[in-house]
Parts: sequence; structure tokens; C-alpha cells
Amino acid sequence: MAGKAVEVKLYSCDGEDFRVPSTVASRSETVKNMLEDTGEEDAVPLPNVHGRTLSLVLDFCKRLVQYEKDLQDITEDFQHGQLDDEFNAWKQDFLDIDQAVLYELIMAANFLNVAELLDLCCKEVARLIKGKSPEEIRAYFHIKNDFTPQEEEEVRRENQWAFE
Amino acid sequence: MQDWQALPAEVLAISFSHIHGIGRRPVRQVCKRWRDVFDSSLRTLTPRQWNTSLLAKFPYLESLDCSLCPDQVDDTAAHEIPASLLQLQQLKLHGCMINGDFLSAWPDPFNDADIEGRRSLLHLDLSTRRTEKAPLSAALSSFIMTGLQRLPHLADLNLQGRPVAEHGGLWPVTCLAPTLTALTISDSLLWSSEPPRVLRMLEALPEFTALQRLSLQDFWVFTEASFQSDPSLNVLSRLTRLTSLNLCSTHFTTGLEQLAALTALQRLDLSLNPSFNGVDMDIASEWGHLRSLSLAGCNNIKSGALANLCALNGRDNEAPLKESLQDLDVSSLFITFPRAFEKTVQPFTGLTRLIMRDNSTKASATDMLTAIASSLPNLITLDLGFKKQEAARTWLSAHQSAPQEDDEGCEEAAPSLEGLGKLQHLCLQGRNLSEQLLAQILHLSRLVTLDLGNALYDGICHDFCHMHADSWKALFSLHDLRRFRSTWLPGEGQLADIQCLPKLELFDVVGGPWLNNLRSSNWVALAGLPELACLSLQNPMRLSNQSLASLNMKALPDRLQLALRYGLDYRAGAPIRADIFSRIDDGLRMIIPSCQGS
Repeated sequence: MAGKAVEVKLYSCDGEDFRVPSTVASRSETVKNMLEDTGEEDAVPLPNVHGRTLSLVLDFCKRLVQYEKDLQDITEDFQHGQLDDEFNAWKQDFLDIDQAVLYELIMAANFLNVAELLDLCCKEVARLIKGKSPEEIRAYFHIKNDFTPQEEEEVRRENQWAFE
Repeated sequence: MQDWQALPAEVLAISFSHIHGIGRRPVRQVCKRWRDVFDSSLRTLTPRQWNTSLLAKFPYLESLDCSLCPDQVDDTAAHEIPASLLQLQQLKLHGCMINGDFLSAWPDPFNDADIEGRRSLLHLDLSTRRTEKAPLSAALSSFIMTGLQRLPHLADLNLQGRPVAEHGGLWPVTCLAPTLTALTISDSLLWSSEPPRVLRMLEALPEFTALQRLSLQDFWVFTEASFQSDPSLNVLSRLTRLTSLNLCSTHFTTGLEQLAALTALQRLDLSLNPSFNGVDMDIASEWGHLRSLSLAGCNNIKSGALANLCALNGRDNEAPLKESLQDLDVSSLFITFPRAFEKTVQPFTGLTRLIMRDNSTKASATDMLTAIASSLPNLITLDLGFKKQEAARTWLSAHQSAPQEDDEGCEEAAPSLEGLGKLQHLCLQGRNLSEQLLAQILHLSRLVTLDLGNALYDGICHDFCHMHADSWKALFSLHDLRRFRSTWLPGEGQLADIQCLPKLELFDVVGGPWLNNLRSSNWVALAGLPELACLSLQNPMRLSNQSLASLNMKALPDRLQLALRYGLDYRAGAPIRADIFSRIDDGLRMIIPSCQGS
């Protein structure tokens, strides 16, 4: 693997194809396993992921690989913090997406098994939930309340016991 | 088509795991699926009220902490735990009304078939406070010792405040010796203060050779009488795997050289042993891994002994202590500044944490910080605070009585704190700060914690001091700031800029005249901070029941804890009325202890 990075081909469900270094593609456990099975020459079809979402996922993987490479190159401790700050700022920009795209991204990160991306998205979901009342959460995520009033009362009571 | 209700369970579970405390309540109320996923993904729980049915709701708990409802958890309640929670690995029963009988609910490790599918309990905290509930458990604590035999895989056991001395010491639990790596038997001496019995309790200690962490805090082992006749520290000499040893307040005086074999030692706490004079601290040269040392309150230690510590050579090729030590606590020691300070603290160039509270009242914060900045470049945490404001006040009044013209004549040179570029946590509680020093401090861009509680400005009567508008501006540029304590609140216009501190978790204002401008717009600015979890107003002397009643508490988010410590209605001289808060949403927990000052 030394020297030039091997490129692999990925196909999204709408037929778009992406050529990325295998180091980037392998950030997805799913793709990595497929590459190990079939070899890096074959194109990898990803029937569950739309092109526009896959492009976001690969953007993230590229940035992640870059970040890890930068981490190895640093010589001074303080640069560590700097790199973290830069990466965090990048993540914030990256997450400046609407709710529908976030949903697609989560499903893709879950299917492709990119742990870092899934965690980032889940943190974003947590951020969106935090500070909202149950009604606000339902309204925001278009969720139907399927509790009966009695059940709702019970959950409220349990909450009072359990959570500070 | 997005369907957030039906997100894969593992995705929801990861998301929920990032939500803490009271913020979890609404999650369970959204819909049945979210509730079910939440309940089965919950791994740690600290209930506010005990209810046995809760255990069945969260069957996959790995950690249960009952320290918020200790009065409701007795042996009968605790008896239910092992049957309901098969995954439990950590159980904290701090302060609970238990005598140990509940331990018999665990299956017998040697013959029960029930063991299958059950994880072993690894961490058990049965600690209690000396003053509370101990009499009840004292007579029956033998239950604990027998019961513990059912948990042979325990790695971490805390028996703080439990009087185990009465019942054969640690002999009954030597079956735990192969796995036990952490043991806390602090403060365990309730009923017997006779040295021979105390030592009998520790007789079995050398068996616990797997121990890595041991705390004997407040144990009073090394009373002078016992020490003379018995080599007390000897019981520790075989515990060669110890990495952390706490001998805080053990009446320990001398004999440190008996610990020469503890070469793995990384943390040693010798604090609050006022008779310990430090002459045998040379043994520290044997502890090549020592990184953390606390000598706080050992006020019999002479500067010379500390200076010797700096002069020690490392073993073999190891770095000398003055370079390898990372964490040093020398609070309440008499270290003159600058003379002794230069020889005792400044040589420790490897320090990342220096705690020096209640020290050197004659040195100004400016001088000390300048000296530290020039010699300790790795510091991340620095505490030069005073617990009592009086110490700083005395200094201040002494200086104020000097002719003021002199001060104006020779303007203080701006201190250079460039050497403290790594500093993240700084406490200057009760110190007097000059305008220039404050400006420099606010340039420490990595600050996460800044404690200026009860800090004074040079020469300004503290009741009327305000932080300069420029200082607030500088403060609001510290984007990593999470915890901030000060005597001052910014003015109405400036407070809106607090939004520039998105990570702020704790905002604590001690006293001060600012509460006059506590209007609802201020609340809104504070309430808008996404991470703010604690807003504390200590000694809010100008706060009246009336003005508080007019606040729009509803504007505050649920997660926020509002602490009004020592709140007094300044006109009525009475505590703030609890009923004022009765209309606050259930989620907002008020902390209004009695009005006794600290």
C-alpha cells in the first residue's frame, strides 16, 4: 500500500459514481468489508444511498482522514488543540443542513457504518432534542403522539422518580 | 421519506446517550417507540426517588446510583436489585440505610445455577458519612462483611464510614483479595479508637496484593502511641502494585521509608497530617512513577524539606522528581514569597497542576502569577485562591493605608502571563486583582474555568466595583469558557454578549450589587445559553422577595439549576421565601439552604 493511494469506485443508488482513495472509502466499515471480499478493482454498488448523500458522507471521510493524517504530522502539543478546533469548526459547517438531509445522512452513516459520522449526527439529533418540550419535539420531527392520557401520566410520574 | 419515529434503535440509543439529567424527561414522553428504545438503552441511572418498579423499566442498567434518595433505600428495597438487574456492574448506595443484609440476595457464587447470564458486580459503594445513619449500620455491619463473600469478582469497594473494625477487620473478605484493585476504608473508625484494635483491623491488609488504589483517609491509624510500638506503615509495604495511596488525615507522622517498595506509586496524598514534618520525604526518589503529591495542610513541613524534594535525583535513567511531578498541592503551607517559593515550587517545571490555596498572603496575585508564568510553562490548572476573603482583605487594607500617591506615581508594569499559554483552569478566589492583571488573565485564550469569586479590585471598595466594559468584552472572547465565577455581573447592554460563550455551563455570581439589574431581559440572555446547567447567585444581598417574585422564571429552560445560596431578603432579613418558587415548573430545582453564611 506504500506510495500512491489506490482509488476505488462507489456507485450510489441513482447511478452516480464516485472515485475516492481506498483509505477514504474504508472509513465505512461496510465498504471496507465489501472491498476485502471483492478486491479494490471492482466498483462497489451502494443501493441504499443516494448520490447527494454519498457525496456528503465521502466529504466527511476525506476530512476525517485528513485530520488523522495531520495529527500524525504535528510536532508540538499545542497544535493538537488547533487541529481539533479546526475540525470542530468544519463539522459545524458540515452540519448546517436541513432536517431531511440530516435524516438521509443518518441512515447512510448507519448503513455504511461510519462510526464517527454516525456519532456526529446523533449528537446533532441530541442537540435538536435538548431544550424542547415533548410537544415541540413531536412537532419538529413530525412524530405522532401514540400515548393514551393515562399512559402519558404514567410516563410523567416515572420521569419524576427517575430523572433529575 | 423521513420517519424519525422509526429511526433504527441503535441510532436513537446513541442520540439519547448524549442527553443527560432532566433533559431526558421529554424524550420518554414523545412516543411509545422512543420511550421503549430509551428504556432499553439506558445504562446508568441515578433515581431521585426510589420505586422498585423502576428497576423493571430499565432492565439493562449497568450502573445504579441511589445517593439521591438514600433515605428511601433500605435492605428490603435493595434486596430487589440483583433479581431485576442482571447486567448491573456498578452499584452506589452512598448514605443508604442498609446494614448489608441485602447482599444475601445475590446468588451464591459457588452453587447457584442463576449465575448464568448475570454479569458480576464490579464496583460497590457502601459508603456513608460519619455523622449520618452510621449508628444503625454499626451494630450490624458484620452482615456486610459476610455478604461481600457473594461478590467474589469485586474490583472496587468503598466502605467509607462503615465501622468494619469491630468484626475481625478485613479477614472475612480476603476472598476478594485476588480481584480487588481499589479499596476505600476511609473514616471507618467509629466505635473503637484504641490503637491495638485499629491495627487488628488492618492486619489482613497485606493479603490484598492486587490493590492499586487504597484510601485510608481519616482512618486515624497512625496515632502516636501506636506508631511508637508498631510499625504501622509496614502493613502497606507488601502492596507493591499500589499506584494511588491516600493517607490524608491519618495522624501520620513519620516512617515513610517503609514504603520504599511501592515503586509503582503515582499518586500520594499526605494532606492534613499536621504532625508530619517531611524529613523522610527523600524516599520519594524510589518512586520513579510519582506524578501527584499532596501535602496540603501539613503545616509542620519546613520549606527546607520541600527544597530537598526538588533536589532529588531520579532512579537510574529516570527524570528527577522536579521534572516528572505533574500535580502538586501545597495549600495552607507556609511558603514565603518569593524566597522560599523560588526554591520549593518553581523548580517543579513538569507541573501541569498546582494548587496553592490559602498561601502567601503577603504576595500579590500579580507577583505570584508573573513568577509562575516564567517558570512553570506546562500548567493547565492553577489555584491561588483564598477560601476566606478576609485574608485578601487584610492585605488590601494594609496597602490602602499606604499613601495612595505612591501607587499612582509608579504605575504597575503590565504582568506578562505569556508563559501560561496552556492554562485552562484558573482560580483566584478572594485575591485582589489589578486592572492590568485582569486584562492579562482575560488573554489566556484556552481558559475553561475562571474563578474570580470574591476577588477584589485593587483599591476599590468591593461593594461598588464593576468589571470594566473592556474586560467584559475580553471575557466574552474566551470561547472555551465553561465555568465562570465572579463578583460582578455585566450591565444590561453587555449581558446580551454572553451568547459569545456557547459552552458556558456554570455561571456563578457571588454577592455584589448587580441584582438591581436582574430584569427578565437578563434572564433571557442567560437562558439562551445551550449548555448552561447551573446559574448560581451566592449571597445575593440585594435580592428581595419582591424583586424575585417579579422575575419571569418561565423563561428559564428546564435543565437549569438555579442556586440562591445564602439568599436573604435584604429588607426583611429573612431567607428568601420558598413559596415564591412554587409556581416554577417542576423541572427547576431550587437550592435554597438556610441563610447561614459560609
